[in-house]
Amino acid sequence: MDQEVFQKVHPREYLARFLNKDVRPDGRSLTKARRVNITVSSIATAVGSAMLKMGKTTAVAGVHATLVQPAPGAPDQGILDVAVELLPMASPNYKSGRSSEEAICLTEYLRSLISPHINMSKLCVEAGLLVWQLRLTVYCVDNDGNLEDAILLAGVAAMRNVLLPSVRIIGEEVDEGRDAQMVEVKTENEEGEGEAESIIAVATVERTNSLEIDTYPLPISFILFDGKVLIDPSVAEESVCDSRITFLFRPTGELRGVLKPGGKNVPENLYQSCLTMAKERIPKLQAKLEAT
Amino acid sequence: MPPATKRSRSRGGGAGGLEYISLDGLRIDGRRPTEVRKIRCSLGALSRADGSAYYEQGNTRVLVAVYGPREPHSRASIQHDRAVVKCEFSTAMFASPVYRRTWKGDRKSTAAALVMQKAFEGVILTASYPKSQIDIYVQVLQNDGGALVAAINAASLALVNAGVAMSDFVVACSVGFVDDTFVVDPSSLESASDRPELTLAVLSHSAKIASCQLDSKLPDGESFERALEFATSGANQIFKVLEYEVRKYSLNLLDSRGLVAL
Repeated sequence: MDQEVFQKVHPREYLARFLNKDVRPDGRSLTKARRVNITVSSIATAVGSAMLKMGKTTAVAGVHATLVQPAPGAPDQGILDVAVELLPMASPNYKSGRSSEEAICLTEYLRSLISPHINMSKLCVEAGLLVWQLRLTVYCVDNDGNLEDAILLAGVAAMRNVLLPSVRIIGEEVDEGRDAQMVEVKTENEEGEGEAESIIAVATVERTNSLEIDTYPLPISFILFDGKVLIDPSVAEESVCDSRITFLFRPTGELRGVLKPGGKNVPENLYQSCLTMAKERIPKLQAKLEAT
Repeated sequence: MPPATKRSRSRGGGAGGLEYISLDGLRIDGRRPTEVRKIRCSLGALSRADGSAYYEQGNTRVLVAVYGPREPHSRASIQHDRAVVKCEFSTAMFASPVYRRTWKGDRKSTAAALVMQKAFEGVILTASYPKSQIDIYVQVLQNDGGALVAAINAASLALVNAGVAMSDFVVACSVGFVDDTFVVDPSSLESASDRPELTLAVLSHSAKIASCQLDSKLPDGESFERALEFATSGANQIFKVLEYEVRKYSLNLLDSRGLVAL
């Protein structure tokens, strides 16, 4: 039988035969993660951006910033919106149209892990009047497995890359020359009566204010297949795995959390070996992110 | 946020604010009026797609993937004698400095997708792939003017990469009109909704026009021919780059299979 046909008809058996020889279909050993490559600031229209390649898996993350009025409940807090989009170009199985369940789950996963590390009061220009609204969008353009790790790392890299201009509220419109630009934010009238007012501010063209994100999550995922663990799974491996486990670390190397979304249970010895492998990899990942 | 210069343009442009053409006859970014922006591209940028291309024209960056010919998603769209070409055009949230909620279904994206679909339906030998579908997915990562032009050029490369049979190669180029001068391949600073802009897609070998779109009116009757001339010369410049890229890619492919020695 042809190799490709065999893989389609017996995907589990196909992978098992490779693993019996201690090698994976893409030539890696079971404990070898794919090479991670991060480039930042490549998109000039975004205040922060990152492109992450993890083997063939590719994610592009960008942050868009706008000045808005703060929410009434949190006058001195900025706003962070997070979105993950799985583009139909990323995989033949992705349909165009509305966000799939998978995209929504990944959005929630990214939001819950990133937002605790952003100091929202740093995004405040003037309490009750003006705050930054950041929109982090991560596009998956090529899906070759382990999207969870790729999207989180791309998101973290883009947020760490964010540089915001300095903003100052002024009374009226004056010409500040080429180094600054005027921003006008319409205020909403709560009663809906009277004329709509607006806040006028100037923002410097030069962007220097970073969000100073020192602590961030670093993910490392494994899959279980037939009593074996595989680090950093590819898409073919993910589709036949028994269960998945993700370790989340702080940049200092401490374990921050473990995610295990269902599937078969993980025996103690395998859990420990995963943890050891993950701990070895963390410094490398951290160095990649810090180097950007 | 809009760049500093946008403000001065909205106040009167031209003489009052920004000078689009300097006394030396150069444009804001230092190009001559007939010069296209620097193009960088690569074929086969994505692993899962049947064909793909990454394309940069100045600061406009697009990624295009082609899937197919493959089985159509819905039975209703099957044509028994030819392939169906579908195109989807979407823009990244952070692609332009001004925040605009764009999604695949908005008017501009739908219009751009339709232009591309029609242009490529004409060159793809659809009769060779009956009962199948060819999908072209465009993602604009950064838009500094001419996103549709970049998307068409990138889609041509992606279709070549996918090995889809085509009768000709589609190349696009736009022409703007600022300060009484035609400028080839205008950047976002040079294009505005109230100024004429011609977007042209030509078949590079037969020199036939695949698509031609003129926004806003030109000053006089003769200037349309002049604009066409400028656009065609721009398209020829772009085609040289694309042709070189395709040749380089194909030679590398042949070399890697041991069929030619480089």
